[in-house]
Amino acid sequence: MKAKILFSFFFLFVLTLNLSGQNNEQINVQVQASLKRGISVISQSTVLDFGEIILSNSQQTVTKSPAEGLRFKIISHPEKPVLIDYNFVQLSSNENQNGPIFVTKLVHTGSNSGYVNPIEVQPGTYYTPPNQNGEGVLSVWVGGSLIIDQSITQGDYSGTLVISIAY
Amino acid sequence: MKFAQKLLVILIFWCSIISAQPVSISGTASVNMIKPLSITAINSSINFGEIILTGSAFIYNLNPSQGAVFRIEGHPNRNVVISFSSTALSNAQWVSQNGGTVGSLNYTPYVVHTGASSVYDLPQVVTNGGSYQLQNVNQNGILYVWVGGTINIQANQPIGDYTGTFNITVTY
Repeated sequence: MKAKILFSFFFLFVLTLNLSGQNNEQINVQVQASLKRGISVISQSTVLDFGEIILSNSQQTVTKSPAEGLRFKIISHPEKPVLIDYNFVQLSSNENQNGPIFVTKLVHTGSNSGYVNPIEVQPGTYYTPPNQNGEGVLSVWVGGSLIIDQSITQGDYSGTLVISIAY
Repeated sequence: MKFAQKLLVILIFWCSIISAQPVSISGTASVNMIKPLSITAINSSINFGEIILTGSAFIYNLNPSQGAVFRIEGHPNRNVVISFSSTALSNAQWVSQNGGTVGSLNYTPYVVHTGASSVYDLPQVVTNGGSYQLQNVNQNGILYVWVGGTINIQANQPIGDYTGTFNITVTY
């Protein structure tokens, strides 16, 4: 039998390839949070006492240096500026609501707790507490002048000085 | 036994008929090509910003609309599994430069998706390990994912700049 017998076998197959396999992708991003220390104030002296003043027939001004006045320490986040604001104070007595005017003078000495190289603090201005072991520390000293008009009558006068500190 | 012998003879006879002539049978080969997955950061920042400590414990939230945004791209209408986990943030680097106390913060991600919309509109919560369908946009599978979250701040939490790494994985 010369005729060639061809044996052709084709296998029927259905080949389905799924080339997806498993595919995964990852991405990393940084998460950040900056925690700031809340402001606290430690008073080291709370009374600014001008003592006894003898009235005269003319206006007089009595001044007290910040070095001998009030003193407090601001503890805050290091190197984050704080806004310091204050105003003048009109003192009053039980008998007289319009007493002498106290003109405030503030200075700070940075983180130095001694009265060294004081820098005047202007109201409504930002100051940066230097870093002291991970805390911002600013020593503030308060003095000022008492302007006593000649019309002021005798008595014990007092007033409240409000100094606000904020970020 | 005889039945088996008969069956064998019939099979051989049938094969010889088939093999005596060329035979052609067609088959079908098909391939299902799947687009590879990709994930791109549109906004790679998860930044809680400045937080002033109060001395009390509290939880601080970052809305996903203000966090990181990712665009996942892959095969249209195919589902992807999205995985992520909590991570710890540390202020160690800040402390090494500024002093203070080393602390850690636990960051818990809050993940949503907005389908194929790149605008923060009708967000759907994404759970860790959940499966989500890529939306068909011009034969591309698209999903926008937004990541915010919360940090738990302790009453005595040390101050400083905390950082950590958040991973998100997408899988077919």
